[in-house]
Amino acid sequence: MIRQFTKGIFQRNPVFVLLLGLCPTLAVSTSVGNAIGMGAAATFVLVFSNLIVSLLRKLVPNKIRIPCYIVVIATFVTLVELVLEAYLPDLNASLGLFVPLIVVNCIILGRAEAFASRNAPLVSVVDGLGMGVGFTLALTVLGTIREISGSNTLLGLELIPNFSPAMIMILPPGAFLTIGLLLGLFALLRSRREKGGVSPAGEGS
Amino acid sequence: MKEGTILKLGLTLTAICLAAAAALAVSYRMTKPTIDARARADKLEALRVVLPAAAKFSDRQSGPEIDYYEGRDGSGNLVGYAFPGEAKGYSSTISVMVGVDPEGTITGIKILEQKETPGLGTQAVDVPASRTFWEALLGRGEKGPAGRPPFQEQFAGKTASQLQVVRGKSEDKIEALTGATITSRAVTDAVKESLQTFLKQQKRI
Repeated sequence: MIRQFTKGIFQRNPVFVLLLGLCPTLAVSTSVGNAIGMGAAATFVLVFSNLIVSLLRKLVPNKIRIPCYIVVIATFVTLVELVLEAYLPDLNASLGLFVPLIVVNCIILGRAEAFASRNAPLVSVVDGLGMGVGFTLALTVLGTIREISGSNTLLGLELIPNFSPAMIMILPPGAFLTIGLLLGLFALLRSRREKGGVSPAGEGS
Repeated sequence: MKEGTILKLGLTLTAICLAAAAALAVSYRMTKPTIDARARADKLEALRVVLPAAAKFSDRQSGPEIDYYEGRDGSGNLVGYAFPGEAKGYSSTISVMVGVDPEGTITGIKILEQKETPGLGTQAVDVPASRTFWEALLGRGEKGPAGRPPFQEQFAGKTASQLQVVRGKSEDKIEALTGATITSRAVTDAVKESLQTFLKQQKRI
């Protein structure tokens, strides 16, 4: 059970290993605050959609399983959107379009299809939580690097007085530069550990 | 495929959609009052910022060209008007609220909505933090009340003819944001156009 949780953080980290959900990752990791907010919202959806999909796995006929999953996921995303709008309007404004787009975040449909539809509810929830935490951590790492180098701030507070930061880091090119370097680092660490093993393949984006 | 199967698939999907719709209806009803209250509070807050001298605001008055609000002080004297404006920025439509005194001098503006480039165009709504990250970490320095964005503060006390964007320092014009000239111009245009429309409308009445 613990392994099901930690695999989402390390061996099968959705962003750094599976390369899933890169679009929201690149777009909202401009600051640590945004990264954590997006991660939390996606984790919530992931946990509950995994739970419901797992509960429904014997009732839903195979032929219509994908539309059913999408309905379940879309329902939870709309819920998150309503809650953010009502109670966290600032976060809602900065995440913008990316909240509704959680619906099509491949991590969520991917876990519903690959895991929750074949496993018991409890272990599916743990899987969702692990993947969500892994996603949040990845976003936070990116957000920290980009906020420090691009805005010279951390959580909105200035780091080095009178220092002009590298603006490019908070713009889209900075996102690609950061994720490219991080992916390279991860691949290097893994290949070191596997001692010349084949580089692990992603599962699409 | 047998007719029976199609019927079964359809019914299953219908049942799932019905359950999702019911869940959303309930949460929509639960969050609606908070969302509405917040929208009202935001509007009132915007009116207060742009017309600080006023204690009470009228409902939205519809004019032939532009809708406006009247602001009165504690004893019921007219102290100014507030009205909305908008213009196309770099990556979004920027909407503003503008306040003027009865002579047509701007008393304040507030950007209501924008989705400009983070770190560049968004400087228009940024308030510099009053302390650095290290001070906050060590618990030193005053947190201080959140101030107003310096870019928007420039508009107070200006008249329509002074609404010109210049690079670098200026006493009587609008100083452009570094690296965000288009956003600076868009905000200024939004203010200028709505102000001119409003003044023309006032003259006719």
